[in-house]
Amino acid sequence: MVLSTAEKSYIYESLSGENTLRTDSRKYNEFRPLKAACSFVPNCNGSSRVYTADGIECITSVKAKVVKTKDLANLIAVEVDIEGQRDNSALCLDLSALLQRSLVNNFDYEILRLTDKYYFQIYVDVLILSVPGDFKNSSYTLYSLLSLISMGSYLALKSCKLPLLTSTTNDREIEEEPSFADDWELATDLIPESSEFQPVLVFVVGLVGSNVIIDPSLDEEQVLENGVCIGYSQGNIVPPIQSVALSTVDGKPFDRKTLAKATGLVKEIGQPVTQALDAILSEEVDEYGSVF
Amino acid sequence: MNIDRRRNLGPANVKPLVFAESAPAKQDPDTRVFLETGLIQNCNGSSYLENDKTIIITSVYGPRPNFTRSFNDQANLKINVELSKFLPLDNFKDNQKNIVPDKDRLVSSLESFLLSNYQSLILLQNYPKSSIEIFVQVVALNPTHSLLYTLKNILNSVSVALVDSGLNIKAIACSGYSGSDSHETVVNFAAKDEILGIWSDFQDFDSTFDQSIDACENDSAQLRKEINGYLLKKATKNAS
Repeated sequence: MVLSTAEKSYIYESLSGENTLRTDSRKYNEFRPLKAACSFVPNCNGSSRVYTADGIECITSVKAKVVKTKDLANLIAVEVDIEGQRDNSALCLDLSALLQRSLVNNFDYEILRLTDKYYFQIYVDVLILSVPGDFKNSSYTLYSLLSLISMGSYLALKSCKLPLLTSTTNDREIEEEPSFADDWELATDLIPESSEFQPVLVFVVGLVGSNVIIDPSLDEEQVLENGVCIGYSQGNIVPPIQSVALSTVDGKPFDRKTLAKATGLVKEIGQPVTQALDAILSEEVDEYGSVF
Repeated sequence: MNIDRRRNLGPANVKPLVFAESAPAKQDPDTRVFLETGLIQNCNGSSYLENDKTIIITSVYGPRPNFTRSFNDQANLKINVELSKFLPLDNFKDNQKNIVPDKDRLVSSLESFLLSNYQSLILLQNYPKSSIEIFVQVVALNPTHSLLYTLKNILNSVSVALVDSGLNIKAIACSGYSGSDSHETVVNFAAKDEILGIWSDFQDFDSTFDQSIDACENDSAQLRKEINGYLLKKATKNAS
């Protein structure tokens, strides 16, 4: 929705006031409701579908391939595609780069290791469906999708199943091509339950006055002064800690206190969000399974 | 059954082969900067920045009329980054990981970061129905410079070009860099404790994060002194 100057001023004053008042009466640390489901794409190792009440939908798939490599950083490839945007549009490229960077910097490569020479290479493909119709006329940008995309990749990676390795894991002396069990019932999780590793979650925090708000809605983005994306994994703040342009209107500089508030907010909500996502993972998916 | 493993493991007193370090030893970057403004005639403002074999040219065009939308109550800012062909981008790796980013993705990351910075600096509301375009060209690159160190140079080059263009800006921005083996941070300051943008790959987030911002602030304050001195000298020279 394109906001008038009066509307913008009204929203700005309520957001930047002492008690942050948001247009949809959320608290400053509250997410919009969203639904998610996992493992519904039959020909992928892991998949997830996250969708919000306003119809934005994020479908993520993870596919794995066996490669012989020593270059661990090339084991993760990320591609983000947005409906109505060209593959090489600045937004798609930048979101892909941000997500890839955050995953590569915070990944436990041990879980991808098959033998000393062979690794799983994973491809994370993200598709955003139903972008709001007024996107081209409004002053907000779609960088706020980053948190939705990272939740999608979190769920897809966590629900990723890989075939059971039947050959030896030690090929230091003799090269041996890995072989796998045919039975998908024996498939193992990419991230075993015993592992402490969690894929990174990236949160988008809006800065307005000296206040910080999580998960800014499209209306709120139009009046925000600045935005930061902050990574979270295993109870810690991890890279990226980076400014993002949430709107095309002019903003204001922020001080270090506000930045500290933003990182504090992410630390505070990281755990509950991880728990909520883990709860979705533990649910049995039958909604789609019963169709086939 | 006893298996003789000696053939596989080799003699007990064997020493592993060690090759000489092939990568050049890391040196502290030369922080001296050569700066010149107004070299390009056909734009509204330009700057030429040279730092330790890295050369960055920035030109600012605008405000120019923009009729692409029905109504623009403020200027539309566009930033275009160009990395010249055959630049040694090998050192633009992410953090300590051995990944060289795709050039297109790199350019769009830089562009969007610069946009988020300068949207907060330029008084876009003073220029309705217009567009402002900033072109950044990285002409030469020191192969030992990392992505974030180069970003600092780019930010400073754009800030000076904006001053030269005479566009209404809130302050003269100046960015600072702090880096170690484990992390790098760039913070762009509009003034003391006024952050326009931050890009950090801090792995172990603790009190040292604050210290690294302090280091960036000091670096930026030092550079700001130099840049202000240069701009003042140039302004008084033009006046006389």
